[in-house]
Amino acid sequence: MDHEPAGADWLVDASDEALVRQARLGEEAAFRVIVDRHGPGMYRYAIRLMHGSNHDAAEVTQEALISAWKSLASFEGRSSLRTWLFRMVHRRAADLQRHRRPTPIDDELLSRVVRPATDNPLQDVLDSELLGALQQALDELPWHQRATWLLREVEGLSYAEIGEALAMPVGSVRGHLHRGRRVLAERMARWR
Amino acid sequence: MAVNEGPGREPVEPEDLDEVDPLDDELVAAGVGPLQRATRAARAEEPSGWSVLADDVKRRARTITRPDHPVLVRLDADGSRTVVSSRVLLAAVRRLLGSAPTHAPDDVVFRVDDERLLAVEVSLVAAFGVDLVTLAEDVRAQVLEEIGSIVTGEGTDAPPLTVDVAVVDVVDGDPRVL
Repeated sequence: MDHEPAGADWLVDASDEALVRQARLGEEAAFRVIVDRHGPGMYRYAIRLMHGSNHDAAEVTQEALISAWKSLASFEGRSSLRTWLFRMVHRRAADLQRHRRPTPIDDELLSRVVRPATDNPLQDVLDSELLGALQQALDELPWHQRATWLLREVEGLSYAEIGEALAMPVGSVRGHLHRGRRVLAERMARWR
Repeated sequence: MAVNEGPGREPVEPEDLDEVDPLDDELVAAGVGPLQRATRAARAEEPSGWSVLADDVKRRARTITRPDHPVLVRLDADGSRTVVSSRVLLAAVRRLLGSAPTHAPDDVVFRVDDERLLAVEVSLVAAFGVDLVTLAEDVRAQVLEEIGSIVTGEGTDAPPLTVDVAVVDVVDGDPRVL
């Protein structure tokens, strides 16, 4: 190529918009960069959302990314690529959740206030233990509270982006997040 | 300027102020410290098995063929036909239009009727400051030459190929990476 940007891996530095343009035209290398850039966050989100199951998370993340590859032509850029990808992984996770765990999702059912534990087991806990405790606490959250908390606090999406990803108004995002934060803080209080 | 700093808190930039939960103080009192630590650990977590999963996704993506059209390249006197997939033409145009920092392809559409290639519609993103009329003329000529070298139309009754060029966006820099 006459004027290829410097370096063999120039796609790695390309913007999401540039990658989408190229991937939409069938450039697999651009799609591979999209996978490397956004896949880890999607997978991490799916694991925490799916009760810590790497197997389920791998399934929904793979399906979401393959679906993205097939349907990039329909991506109109109204939301960011990242938000669009999170929406895809969330939808597939919801589908899997519905099929495998047919328990009705009632956001109020599990929104009870949990009393903080009175014991004080450890001051210096290992990250893995804290993460285990966090997963346990997350597992008890209703679906939407868990999703909004993960997208906001772990993946750093804005309220508007979360609304796009979960197809809900920003006001609902705020409400779910508010309740989720309260329950998680109370659940985790025993680790003080 | 970061605000809302304090023990166990991340600085909050002013533009995020509308996203600070009003319960924060209450949560701190209720034991948000451990939650903050767990949240930081979760953010830093590199999920195990990702590299294997990523390889699987990339491998599967390679096996997925996109919709295409057969395009008649030439027709011999004995009736033998040579066709090429529109995917081959797309790859050629994509390579051609990705070789200069002045523009990048946004979309390429091949109009095909009964295997005859009638037109190529090219949408471009251009770099700010580029003469768009000259760019469109150059791209049209390049695409005609490139596609014409593949789809000779020899022996066929295909009409002359037309190339329509539309500049759909302008960016400040190299549009191949911006």
